[in-house]
Amino acid sequence: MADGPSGAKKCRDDDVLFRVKSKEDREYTLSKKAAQLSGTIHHYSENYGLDNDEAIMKMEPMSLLEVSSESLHHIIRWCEQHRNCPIWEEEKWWQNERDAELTKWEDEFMAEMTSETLYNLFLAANFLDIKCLLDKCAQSVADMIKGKSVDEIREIWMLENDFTPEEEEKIKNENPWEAILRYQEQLEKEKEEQASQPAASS
Amino acid sequence: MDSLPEELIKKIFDFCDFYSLLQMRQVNIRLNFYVNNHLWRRKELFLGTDYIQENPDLTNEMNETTLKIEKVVEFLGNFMPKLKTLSLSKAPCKISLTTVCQLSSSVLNLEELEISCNNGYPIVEPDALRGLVMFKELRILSAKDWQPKMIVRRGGCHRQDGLPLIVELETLTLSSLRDDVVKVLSQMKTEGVTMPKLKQVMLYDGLSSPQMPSILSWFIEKHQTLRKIVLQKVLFTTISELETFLLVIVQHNHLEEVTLKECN
Repeated sequence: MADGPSGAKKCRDDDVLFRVKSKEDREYTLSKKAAQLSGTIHHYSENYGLDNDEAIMKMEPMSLLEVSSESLHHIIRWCEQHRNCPIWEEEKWWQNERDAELTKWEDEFMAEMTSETLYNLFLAANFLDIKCLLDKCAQSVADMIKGKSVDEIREIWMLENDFTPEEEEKIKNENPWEAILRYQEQLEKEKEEQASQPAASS
Repeated sequence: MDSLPEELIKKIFDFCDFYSLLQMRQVNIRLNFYVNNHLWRRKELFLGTDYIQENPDLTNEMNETTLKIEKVVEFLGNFMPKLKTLSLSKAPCKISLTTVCQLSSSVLNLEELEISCNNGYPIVEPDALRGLVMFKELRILSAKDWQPKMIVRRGGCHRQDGLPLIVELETLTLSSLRDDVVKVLSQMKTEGVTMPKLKQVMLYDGLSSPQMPSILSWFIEKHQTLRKIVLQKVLFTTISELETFLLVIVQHNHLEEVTLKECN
């Protein structure tokens, strides 16, 4: 409801609308309640005297030069969904027990993201200082590599191996869990062998 | 991923299990630097649960050498020297006196140590926990299902394995499904070991020994710094045992809370 060029100055619950502009110069709106999740918008409001509804209704759009239209669209969806949550200042409220429906929505929201969208959203959440989204993005990026091998992590995060073979060997040997790693390698080999056997027989 | 600034990469680490962090160290130079930095500041490590639970397939395949404890000690000394809390619970390894002594010099500021052997691991070798005397900052010790052995020397002389004097110890938890707690307390009594700063103690023996009430009375009497005692499944066989125990409690200088659970 909030994205796209702004026309209306009021939204549901008679909440006034904040005007924001992406780096592609596209204008979006989000409700005052939703905007309160962002530390950056909060400080902007304080500095530009946007402390009453009338001032907000007359405001020029706030330029978010670091945020792409796509990320801003997702940010607004997130903030509108969390508009009734505590404001940005409150520490870690999202770690407490809360609405199961909201948690489900968050998981579905994150599942929609491709790697690139997620990284951009992560950067945008950092720029806008939306702590709950920042944590959720960090969690999602961490989940991407859970239980993965070093090569798989490189592939997922598109990173180059810039170690020399000697350095790589040294770091590998520092790992005290090498017995487990060996066991995992063995498991992987067994899986590969099992996978290749039916192909060979057919 | 390369475009993410340092503060966001560090944020990701907060949500990574220990296994993932170790894997990330091997990805490239930049991540290696950030992970090492993160580990350097890390205060807690739950060796068994942080690592093994992420790999459920491993639980059936574990043996005492799955985790090379000497390498863990070396790793902690090199990369995690600021550790304050260490749990060795369920870690598939063998802990010897040498390991504990080396650990004390690798992690100088360790304040809390947990060793629970409830799945058979870690295997604690005789006299291993005697090395705890080397820890100068250890305030909290929890040993669950640890089975101290009777150590027999040449000529047949023998003694009970147990705990040494731990100067800064404030909280002690000992529990056993058998009667090992009473053995540890008896060893302390025999050797005159007391913890000068002990404030809280939680003791549980699955099979209560007839010796327990008198040993407990000795233990409480000798630890006048105690504030809180939690006892579970203690069997008082005679009224006089109970009276002696209660008298020790009443005459204690600082006790604020005594909890008796399932005691008869």
